[in-house]
Amino acid sequence: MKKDHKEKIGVFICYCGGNISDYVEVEKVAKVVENEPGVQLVKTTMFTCSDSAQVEIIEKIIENDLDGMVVASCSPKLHLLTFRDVAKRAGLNQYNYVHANIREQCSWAHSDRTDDATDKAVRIIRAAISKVRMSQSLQPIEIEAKNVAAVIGAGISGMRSAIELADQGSQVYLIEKDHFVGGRTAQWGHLFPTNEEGKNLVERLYKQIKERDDITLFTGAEVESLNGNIGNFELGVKITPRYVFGKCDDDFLDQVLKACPLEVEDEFNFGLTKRKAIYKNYREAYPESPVIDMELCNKCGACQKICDGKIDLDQEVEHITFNAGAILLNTGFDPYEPEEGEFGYKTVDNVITLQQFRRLLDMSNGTLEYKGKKIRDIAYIYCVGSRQPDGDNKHCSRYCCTSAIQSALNVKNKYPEVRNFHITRGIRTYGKQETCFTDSSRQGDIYLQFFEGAFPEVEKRGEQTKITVQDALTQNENIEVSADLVVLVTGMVQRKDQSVAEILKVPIGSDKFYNEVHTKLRPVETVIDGVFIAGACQSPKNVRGTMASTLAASAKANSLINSGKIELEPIIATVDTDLCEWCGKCDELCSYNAFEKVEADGKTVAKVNKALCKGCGACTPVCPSDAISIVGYSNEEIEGMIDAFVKDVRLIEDHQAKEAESAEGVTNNADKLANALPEMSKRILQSLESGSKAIPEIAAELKHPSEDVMYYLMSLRKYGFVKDTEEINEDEYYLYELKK
Amino acid sequence: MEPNIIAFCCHYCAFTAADLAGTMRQQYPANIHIVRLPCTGKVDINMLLRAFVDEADGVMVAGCEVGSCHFLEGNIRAKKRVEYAKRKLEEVGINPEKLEMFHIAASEGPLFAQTARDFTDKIRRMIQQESQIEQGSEGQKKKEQIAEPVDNRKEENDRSTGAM
Repeated sequence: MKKDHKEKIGVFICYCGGNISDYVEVEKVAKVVENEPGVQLVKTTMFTCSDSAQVEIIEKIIENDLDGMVVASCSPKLHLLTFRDVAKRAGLNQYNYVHANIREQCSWAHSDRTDDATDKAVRIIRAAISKVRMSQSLQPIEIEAKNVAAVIGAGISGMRSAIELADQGSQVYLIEKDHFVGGRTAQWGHLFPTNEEGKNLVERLYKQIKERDDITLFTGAEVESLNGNIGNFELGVKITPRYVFGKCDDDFLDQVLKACPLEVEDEFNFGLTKRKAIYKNYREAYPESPVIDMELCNKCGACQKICDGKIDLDQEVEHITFNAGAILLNTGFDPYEPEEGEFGYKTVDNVITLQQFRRLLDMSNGTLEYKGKKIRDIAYIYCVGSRQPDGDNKHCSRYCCTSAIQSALNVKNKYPEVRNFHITRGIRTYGKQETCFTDSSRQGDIYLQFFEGAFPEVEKRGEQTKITVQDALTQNENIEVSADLVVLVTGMVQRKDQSVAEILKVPIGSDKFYNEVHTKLRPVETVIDGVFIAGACQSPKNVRGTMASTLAASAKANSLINSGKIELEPIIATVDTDLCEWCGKCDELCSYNAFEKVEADGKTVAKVNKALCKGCGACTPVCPSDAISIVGYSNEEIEGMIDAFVKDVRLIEDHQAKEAESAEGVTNNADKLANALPEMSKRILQSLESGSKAIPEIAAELKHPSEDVMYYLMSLRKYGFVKDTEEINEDEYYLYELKK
Repeated sequence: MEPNIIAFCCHYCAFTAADLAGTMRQQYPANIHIVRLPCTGKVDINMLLRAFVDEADGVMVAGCEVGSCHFLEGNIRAKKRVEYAKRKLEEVGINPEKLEMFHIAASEGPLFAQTARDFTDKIRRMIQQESQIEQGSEGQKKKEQIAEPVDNRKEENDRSTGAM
């Protein structure tokens, strides 16, 4: 590919007030890089990012009519945008600027060896210069955006963000897979610190949503497909009907519930109770009308006899599509399900999870009973499914300490005779939540503490359930607690059902939660432009943390789509249509479907959808004709950087001579690929004319080091001149032959 | 002399980890030269071999942890390509262990530094061993197969020409 090399490059090297200059001899570095090809001027400054230094850089660029800029200072993650702006202000294309990281990746990491650090700084800057020399002037890609947001998941996170987005002027589609809104919060009972019930929060949000025209809620709705790109996604949604319509009063509900003969375990109550085929998650659940579970229903018609035309068992599944500029994922979490036998779960009859306990407490009336037995002593075992030393879940789920202690407060408040035993691995009621720990201690709850490696044991002895714990608070005394109910304080894990994430191609972290772009600086964005994550699907969060993240995601999404236009980074794949012969390999490989097959100038070639391409570069290694390259990361640029890194720092004059030599020989005629082959490649082809050969044989014949031969041979293979025979010679080397 | 090592690092994980290593003042040898790539999925065999042709002593490819690539499976593809390139290196008598793939999450600054230190040590040892063998015995079979170095290095310039 023909490129004009930049010849008037300005290099600005930062002292960073000693952070760099204490370990790197900045002036010496400046002297050395001055001689690099293409460099017109080198300046050193105390703080390049300071306002005055920025103004000075701008003056220098204008004064000297610079066509490229290298800033050598801290990490580009910190100041790339700062200096892009500087370039813009000076009238220099912002993509003709390359950042050299000589602080985090040089001075700070090699502060014990200043000579080496200086040497390395030269190499880093040299590589940056080499890159900027070949850089292209680019413009950001501008695309149109629909001011419509699709919010997936109508728990409190999704509902809150729908309201926020609508307040900011976006049209919102709110998509919930369940037939009732509220997600996990509706199951949670009384919440810290106000003791307001989760379902009240749900009710408040639902009522606000119902009042608005700019929010459309779909329940029983599952995302099936995603097309399009940021600014204009097309979502395909499958909607399962309720089979019941119109509002139903309590009388009606009581009658149909009584009439329905079928029963199944109630997921909403974590299997503690049964529900009918026609059901509501809980009496006050929204939307108001009940729903029929068609997987269970046998269409006996018992409910239809009671209703006055409110039930239609023949309603059909619908498939709809709509367009949205941005997507917010608020899919929440699953509670950790302990394995059978983990602290007696499912093997000891009175062991339940925290989530079950909260439902039990919420539903209990008058007496607290489990499986018909009255409960007096409750033992809570903490960190079940979180902070696992050997398991997959290394994370702390953050909310469970508070949730368990608050349950202990509530249970004591409701049933004063109950005694609470907390068997913990250290209490993490951080921030304002510490008050509930104080309250619990004050009401006489007993705390025992174990450490990793000495997990408590739960066993049944006769009628009694015993927990043995090596208690760190009493100098590792073995203490036995007998309990009527053992509550496993189970944490949060990612939802089992990952179909939405798969359709949206959201990156997933090693902890299985969705990955944000940057944990600290960009916590609600994903690398998929226009797709945001909020709430517990990103990492464990309590209600307050969820609200903060969902509002952040709403604001980010709205700021993206409300102007009707979006600017995207032009660092993406480009296809050289002269070289492309459309083999479809790029299309096959691309995770984002960014390639399409088009006709151009009478031939079939690949075309990149600029809004879909993420610039990851996965397509470049598979292109057999080397037609694809990533802007800023072309083979030429990368090789230039490698050269700059490896070459000895002191051989500057030698290097200049080479540059001049290679510049002379540049012939760039892509479609005459064969003619443009390097001498070495031609010789390899000649050598192979007499039959298939292995690399060492060719090397011996050409009297050339075999790694050189291999480099050229691999290129020849990539460009389709040579192929593997899949045979080996007597020394077990692979044979290569000409591809006719 | 310290070995020259090229480290191809992905933007989201390993490069960030390298930044963090510096911020935490974790020390590692200065001969690790980081080439930032958008994703290790961009790594191809030519790039890896190019480094060896340029007489780099070792090449490390550092991507996200398995299962947490920001571009879904770039790091897995890179791993496969590194394995392939290792076989090719072996073919020409370069110790394939001079090329290695690592998985370093963005938060693992110390791991980056440790990896850099360990890999440098390993390369240093390999170079020592090789020079001992070269001096000591009559030379390995593989060494023989690398034809005697020829002084027509000028041809290297060809590499920057044409479509290569």
